[in-house]
Amino acid sequence: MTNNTDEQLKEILQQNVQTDTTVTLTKPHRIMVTVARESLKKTMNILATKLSAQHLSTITARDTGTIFEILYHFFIQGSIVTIRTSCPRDDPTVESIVDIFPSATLHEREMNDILGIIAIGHPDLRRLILPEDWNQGYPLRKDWKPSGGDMVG
Amino acid sequence: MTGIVTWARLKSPWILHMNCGSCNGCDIEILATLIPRLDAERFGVLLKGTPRHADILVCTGPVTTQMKERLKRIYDQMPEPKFVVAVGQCGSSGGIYQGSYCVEGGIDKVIPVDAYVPGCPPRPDAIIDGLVKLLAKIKEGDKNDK
Amino acid sequence: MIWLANVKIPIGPQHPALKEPENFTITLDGEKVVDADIRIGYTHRGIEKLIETRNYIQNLYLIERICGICSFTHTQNYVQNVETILNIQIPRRAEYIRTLFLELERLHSHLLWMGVAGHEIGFDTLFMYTWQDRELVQDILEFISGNRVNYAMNTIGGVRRDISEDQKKKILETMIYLEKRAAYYKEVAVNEKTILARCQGVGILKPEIALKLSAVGPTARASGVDVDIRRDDPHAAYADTPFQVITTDTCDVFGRFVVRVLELFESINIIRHLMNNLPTGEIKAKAPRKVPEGEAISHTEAPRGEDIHYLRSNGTDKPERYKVRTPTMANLLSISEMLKGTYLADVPIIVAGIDPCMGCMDRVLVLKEGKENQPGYLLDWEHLRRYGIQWYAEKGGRIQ
Repeated sequence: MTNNTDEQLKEILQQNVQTDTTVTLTKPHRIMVTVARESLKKTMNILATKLSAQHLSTITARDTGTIFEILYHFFIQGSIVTIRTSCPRDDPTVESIVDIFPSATLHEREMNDILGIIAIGHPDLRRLILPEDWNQGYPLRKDWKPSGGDMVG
Repeated sequence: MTGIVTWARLKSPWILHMNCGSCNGCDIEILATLIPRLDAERFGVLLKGTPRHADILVCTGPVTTQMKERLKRIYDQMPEPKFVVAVGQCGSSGGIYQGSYCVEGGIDKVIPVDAYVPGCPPRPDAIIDGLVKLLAKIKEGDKNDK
Repeated sequence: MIWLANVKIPIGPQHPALKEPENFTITLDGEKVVDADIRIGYTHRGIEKLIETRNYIQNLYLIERICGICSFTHTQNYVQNVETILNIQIPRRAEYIRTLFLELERLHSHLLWMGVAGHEIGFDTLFMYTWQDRELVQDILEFISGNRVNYAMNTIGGVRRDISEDQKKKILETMIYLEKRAAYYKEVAVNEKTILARCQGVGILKPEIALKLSAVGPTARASGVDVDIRRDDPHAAYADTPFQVITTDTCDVFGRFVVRVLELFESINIIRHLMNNLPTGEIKAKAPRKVPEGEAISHTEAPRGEDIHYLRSNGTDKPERYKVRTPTMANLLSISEMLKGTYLADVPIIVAGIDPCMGCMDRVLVLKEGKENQPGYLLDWEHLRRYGIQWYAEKGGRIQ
């Protein structure tokens, strides 16, 4: 695959997305799309219909200290297309994309587990990786401390 | 009578392998002891699937919070006398995962351990050596009892 | 015969076939699997959090220990990410040595899988054969790096050990032998009655479902999905290495077997190509300890499929956020799809079919439905395996 495809992908994305969205080509084969939380679902629909995206590699969520950032990594025609959105710390929710990409099921459960970001509309948000009786909060948040004191580096 | 039992135990130690959160490095090395090159079965070692048949529990991994209770349960299910071998750095002390929020740090934090095989992961020959040393220890301990 | 109508069987957490102790709750209607639910996290060691507390060099060793089988792929992803943010160019020779290790890892992992699959269907001879040949690959790995499992070869900016002429010669000699063995395994895979009886038509994953559930690696390729990160988004030295992407359209465990056997030949050819065209020069570029602010995503084709890592740095010597998605995680959803509608006796080979990393074939707890707190009896993995073999033997002696 050539960089030409990257440019084409970028163009298709730019033509179809909303005004609150930016598309950048960070390096060859890596496309970053930043969207507002409200237009996430629309962007996902565009990916599925216009680009016939099917392979959702994973979802990364991270705590920046002020907001939560959620990144959806897709593998489309030889490029990793990343959709970046964010949500405030006092309202840690995003819309679930399970109905468009069923492979998001486990990743959204994991996100809920370790960072406490709730995917609204997910059919089954049980614990995935932490113990069933875990009650010490969300370990990947920046302000989290284990109950026994500091972590040893 | 005890003489015969000890003799039988020394000649055919049945082992149960348990992964308590290991990265698999130690686990494949344990299985590699069974292949023709090293052939642990010449010491009568037989890998069993259930704790009720096992004399020796071979554990790997730093014991994650979720496996802690399960490790105890498996240990309780084994018939007496029972022996535990901790394989690998993680099994011995928690290794590289020390300090994590869901790692206990070493098999001996949860159940008593009779032999340690250090290494990350230990070579298959080191694991066999560990087992043979444990058998020698059992023999020695039996003499002292008499 | 055990009465198994209307039962829910939790398999695990001492995980069925292999690595990553996970728990499958399988609902049965008689012999048929109606539903399968997955619970993972028993080996959750908090690595992603630990990474944030350690510096970039320490993390190399931590990330290597994510998995003891595909340890090199993980460090490969990590160093690619760090090198992207640092914007350093690594020497060609280092790229070639990295690719060599990726392929050696694939060889040993596929041989390992074939042995395990053989074991699950009651064909232990295959286990002994493939694991014996796998030792030869381990010998090469040890010869070059000094380690059999966690090689500690990768470092930021290159690799830590060079390959001498002697080592090159030994690698090429071993490849001749392994090619003969691979040809033998190909023969076994397509002609051996045990494998045909137990693998054909078992664990069906249709191409459209494989796509929808984002299956990766040999699991996807056996369902006719033509995807391989090595070709689609070349990393290391794959861009100038000729190889073929193997796919089959049988969509079953047999297909997964064939894909892996044929990939052995591709790996052997790639290794030959790398050794014959090994560039001269340095093996390591100098890298600073602090990494500027930035982010990078990297993926590689691990033996089990696409392995993707995300790194966010913050200008210090420690990462801000590190995310790992292993190929097994991507294939988990496919397992529950494959299990639906099959027989209980086929569960071991289907679960082993995606190669969920080696570890702890152990016990299965059988509970009568409605009495979840009172275990009916204990049925361990070994029993289930034997039950599968016996069940097939009773069905008209399809296997001897």
